[in-house]
Amino acid sequence: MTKRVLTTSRRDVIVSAAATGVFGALGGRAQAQQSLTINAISSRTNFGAPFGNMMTRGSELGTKWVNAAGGIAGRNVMLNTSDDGSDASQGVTRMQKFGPECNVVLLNTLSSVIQQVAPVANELKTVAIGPAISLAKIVVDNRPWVFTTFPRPELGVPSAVATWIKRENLSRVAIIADVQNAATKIQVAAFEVALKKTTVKLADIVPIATQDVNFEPSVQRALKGDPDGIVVSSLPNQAVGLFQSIRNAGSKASVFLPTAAFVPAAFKTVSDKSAFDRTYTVQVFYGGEGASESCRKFVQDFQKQEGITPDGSAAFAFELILLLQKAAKAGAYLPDDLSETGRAKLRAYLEALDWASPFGHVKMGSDGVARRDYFVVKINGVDDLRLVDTIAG
Amino acid sequence: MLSALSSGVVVGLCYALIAYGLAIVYRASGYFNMAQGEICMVCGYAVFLAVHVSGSLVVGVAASMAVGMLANAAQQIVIVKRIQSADHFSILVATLAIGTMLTEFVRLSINEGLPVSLAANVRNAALNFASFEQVHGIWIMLAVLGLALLLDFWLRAGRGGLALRAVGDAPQVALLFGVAVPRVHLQAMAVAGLAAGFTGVILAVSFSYLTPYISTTLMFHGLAIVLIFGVTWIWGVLLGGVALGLIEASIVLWGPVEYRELITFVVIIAVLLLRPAGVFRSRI
Amino acid sequence: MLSPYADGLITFGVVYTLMAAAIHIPLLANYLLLSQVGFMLIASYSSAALVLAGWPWILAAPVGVLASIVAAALVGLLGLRVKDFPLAIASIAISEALRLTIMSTGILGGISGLSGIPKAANAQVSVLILAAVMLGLAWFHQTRTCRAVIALGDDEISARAFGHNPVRLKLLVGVLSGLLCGCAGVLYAAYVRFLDPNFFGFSTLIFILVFVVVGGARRMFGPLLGVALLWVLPGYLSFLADYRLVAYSAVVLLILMIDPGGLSALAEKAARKIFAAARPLGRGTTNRSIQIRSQGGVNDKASAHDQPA
Repeated sequence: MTKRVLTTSRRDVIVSAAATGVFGALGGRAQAQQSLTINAISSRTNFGAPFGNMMTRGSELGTKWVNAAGGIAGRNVMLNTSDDGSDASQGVTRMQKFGPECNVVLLNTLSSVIQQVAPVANELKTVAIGPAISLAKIVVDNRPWVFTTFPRPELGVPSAVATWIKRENLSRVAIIADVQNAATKIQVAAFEVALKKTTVKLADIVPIATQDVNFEPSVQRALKGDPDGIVVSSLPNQAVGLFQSIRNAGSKASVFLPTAAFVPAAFKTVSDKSAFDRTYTVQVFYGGEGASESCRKFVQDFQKQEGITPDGSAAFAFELILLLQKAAKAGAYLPDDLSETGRAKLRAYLEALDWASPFGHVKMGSDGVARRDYFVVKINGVDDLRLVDTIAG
Repeated sequence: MLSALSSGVVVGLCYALIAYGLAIVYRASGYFNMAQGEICMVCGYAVFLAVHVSGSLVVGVAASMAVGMLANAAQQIVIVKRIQSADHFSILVATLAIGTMLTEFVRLSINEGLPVSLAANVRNAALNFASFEQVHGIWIMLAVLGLALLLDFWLRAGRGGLALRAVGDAPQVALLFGVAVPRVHLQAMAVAGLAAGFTGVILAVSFSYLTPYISTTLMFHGLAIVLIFGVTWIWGVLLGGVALGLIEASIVLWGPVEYRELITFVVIIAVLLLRPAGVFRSRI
Repeated sequence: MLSPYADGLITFGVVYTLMAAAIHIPLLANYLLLSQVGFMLIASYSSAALVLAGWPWILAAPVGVLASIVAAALVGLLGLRVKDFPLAIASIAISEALRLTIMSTGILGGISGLSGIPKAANAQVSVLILAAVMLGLAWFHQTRTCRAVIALGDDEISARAFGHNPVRLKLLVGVLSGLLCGCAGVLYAAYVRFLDPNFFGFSTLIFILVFVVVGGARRMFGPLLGVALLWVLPGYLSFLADYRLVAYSAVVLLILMIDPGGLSALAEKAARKIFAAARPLGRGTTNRSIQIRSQGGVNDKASAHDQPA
């Protein structure tokens, strides 16, 4: 049996590889010390993925912009997005992992996950900011460490409804709403109240379930009263289905899609442009004609990078990275100071937030929910949105 | 109103076809293929993609059938055959895992999991084809009826159907009589795939949109129908599906809509309590 | 002192293990009772509602557990009339009906959920509960009653012929299942501090069923092994990002294809091989396996299925 010996060349290769590994590790460690990791919890798989991924992409673009502008406190930002599988218990363990390691966590995930994550953020005294928490109650119940830069969806409703009714000269309105979703249920209540203050007759409120796939009966019931206006208050997938069903039934009624219902990327499946006649939405982010230069640049960059049009959740997820950069410049965001004092500085900064963000004025309310403008928009096409009215937040 | 009720019938046919796909595999192999709903969803996407590329619904229908049968056959050959001797729940969970993988693949590949729908002109033409008054999709109902006649005849009188029933009842005895048992299992999966193909067409044409998660609700209803209305008596399954679809549509049109899902589950519980062996009992 | 992450991992792991054990026990008897998530809902909501009304956890917890046991006993009565897969569907439907009742009527917070529940659990408490339960299960598995339950699962007619009372045994497994669900429900409410009715749905049942089957539905430590792998595993698959769930499903499938008996069956085979290898040559090889039942499924059609197509 011959004994194989290492030849010089083989030994050199092994030593070189080992040395490379050692230096790589040391260099990587040095690199890591120079860079700044921002942790985010996001639904990247399972049913929440379409929404979570939209926010993650927004954060990734924000990271790119911030790094192009010199990073945060001179450090290159690395976004670490951890998947919660659209499951609250996994979201909680992610928060428990990140909480002690950093003083801010981004919540780019579903409200149903955040409902259980938020108490943990409070317990660990870690600032947690959600760019799209549609249920203000989650933030209000979990003060003082939890914030959202998304305004209360129901607040813009009364003024938006008034604008819509006036423009379309409506007399009878029906509402189709997802009653199994807490946020849309609150929104519907706001619509009811708003409509009662007008001369418009509320013809019917037709509930649907989140898992519904056949909207024909619901739409037929809503059309029974021959309304000239229909409000569709549901999640984007159902909103697309309802909208298509309304138009397929031959109805030319004016359709109003509140904040959560209209997501451009979901509605791009509506191929017939004429379906959008007399269709409106109220949004918390507007990047179309008449929008600010930075808004338009953000939309263009997002479209170029991702191939889809961003919605409010993506925009606000993007904005959060810029917000952290601003907080660092103000000496409030101290990533290396994990003491309670260090964390409290960022918290205090957010509590007093009064900021001209790229997407408009953001003022943090005492309840941890931001106040910002709403935009009543006429939808001529998925990528053809026209600003009708701006309502101050 | 007729339009809403006819849509309820079409949804009911969807439930029934999923139920039949589950039933035929259960009859032959003794387990519930929990990926059946996801296969139907994949077939729906096959219709969407085929129409998107070719502009023709006929191509879409053919694609749906082919994908359904091939996908089920592949599932049988590659995976299920290897664990066929396991107990119900192991195979059930294995098929659940397959279903999850299918859902995630579709989400990752097509429009990020956001809704897709057939081109408006194709869809409207399909719905209005052979429509009468407000009743749309008559051709779908007729096609499913034709399929039901075919399958019923095959199961009762065809050699394949006889072999399937024999294998389902006593596989070892069937083997002694020269029946190629694995081939029968494959045939059952292929038939289930055909049913999935039909379901995919209905999903693409009748529902306003498709997402990877569209099959979740449909699956549970399908399972309930199988067990309540008779395992492989296709007429029982069709009747059960249509009944469920009509009940749901009626509640939306006239009843307390907030309680629709709750009412459906209470009805399922009540029927199973009153007729534990099924409404019609297994006819075949 | 444990890190918060370890604390959460362990506590949720214990909750899921208790639930997995609650599903596993009826499966031993081939008794397809699948309302466990509904029983957990009852325990969680009843104990949380009492605590929010001012009761201390020490009193509210047993009430929650008791409520779950009573619910399980009632549903168990259903199982005397409805059998096999129809029972599975009926019991799942009961679970869903409970959840939908809360969501449709708005009671106990409705779709908004129940918030502000004071925290009263951590990993240490959970491990104590788990230890007590596992000891109880280990004792139960040694009893004649357990053997009777397994005999019932194998062949009800033969079990009857040997003098076992299927009605009594089924009610017993139902109650045991309810007890475990009660413990899981109370622990869950005391830890997460917010109850979302959507959590107590069909998808959670499937999530836990996967733990049971992958761990091994027929062996005592099956649920624990299933949770230990599949609950911890997703955390290590973060690098796969969007493909994480695909990988998770692939792992589940792989384990079942290697051995449908799950991880516990694999572990048992490995242990047997190791002990057989360690045994000196010439000694007797009496197999004193502690396994509860033999290989193969209830419908063992192995020989028929192994023929080439």
